[in-house]
Amino acid sequence: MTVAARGSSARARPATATTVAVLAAAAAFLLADVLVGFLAAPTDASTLGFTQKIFYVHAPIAETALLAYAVAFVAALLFLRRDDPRYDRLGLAAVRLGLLFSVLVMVSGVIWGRAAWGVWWAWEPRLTTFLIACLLYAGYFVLRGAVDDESRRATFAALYAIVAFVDVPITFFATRLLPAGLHPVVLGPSGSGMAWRDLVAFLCGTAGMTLLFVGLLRIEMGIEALREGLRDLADRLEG
Amino acid sequence: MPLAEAVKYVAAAYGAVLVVFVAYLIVAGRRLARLQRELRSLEDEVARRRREA
Repeated sequence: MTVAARGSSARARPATATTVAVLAAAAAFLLADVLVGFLAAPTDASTLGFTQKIFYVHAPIAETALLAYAVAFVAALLFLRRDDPRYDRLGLAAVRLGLLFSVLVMVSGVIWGRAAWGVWWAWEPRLTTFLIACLLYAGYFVLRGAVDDESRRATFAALYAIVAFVDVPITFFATRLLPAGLHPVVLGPSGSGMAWRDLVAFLCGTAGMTLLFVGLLRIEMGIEALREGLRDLADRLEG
Repeated sequence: MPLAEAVKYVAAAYGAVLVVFVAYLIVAGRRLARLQRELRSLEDEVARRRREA
């Protein structure tokens, strides 16, 4: 191993330890979410009944998906301002994970929708705007794949991420702006309306999913940095 | 809804989340494996050039 490689490896070790610690904390919070949600929180007395337990995984995933898109938005602004490729990598990783969490929320959501509303899908405000967000951010990868030049690709992707983010606050506020939809408002101005054990499970789930996102974001950015490093090295060897 | 039926929906939702997440981990693992192959290939190329030099 070369001196440079040893140095790089030594630098990578604390970063890896941090990522492992973040993922371990995420696992602990998610375990607490499931334990409190299933063992301590009361079964919902409304028509939802036991299917309300889906809430403890569905809602935190949904919030994390929107958080990921917000991170991509901030990364895009920073990239356009500073022209630093690290922010392009951050944006790419955030959108990739946002899409992952979006798929997770759609999958858990359609199953819960079938149980709660009797239909797999309804064209109501929250579902529709979330689907639009999924399609918009899937388009982000189509755009990146269509542009060969690295600099132009990063700039176009940043601009696209900023425009696509317009749908995110609409999705978040859809239940508040259009209360006639099927989705309830979970956290309103008058509180959550949840029993405290429900709230504990929800907060543990939110903390767990957020930490999971942070841990995966670090891994994704590491993979992207490695990919770019290898590409540069290959170019230098060929040149 | 009867509890037995509700349990199926809850298990399906949690199971589906787990399956999608595992699928993501598999895809991410493959991406990493591909990069490791590229790294080995570049290391071989560097070693070959050193020998030739």
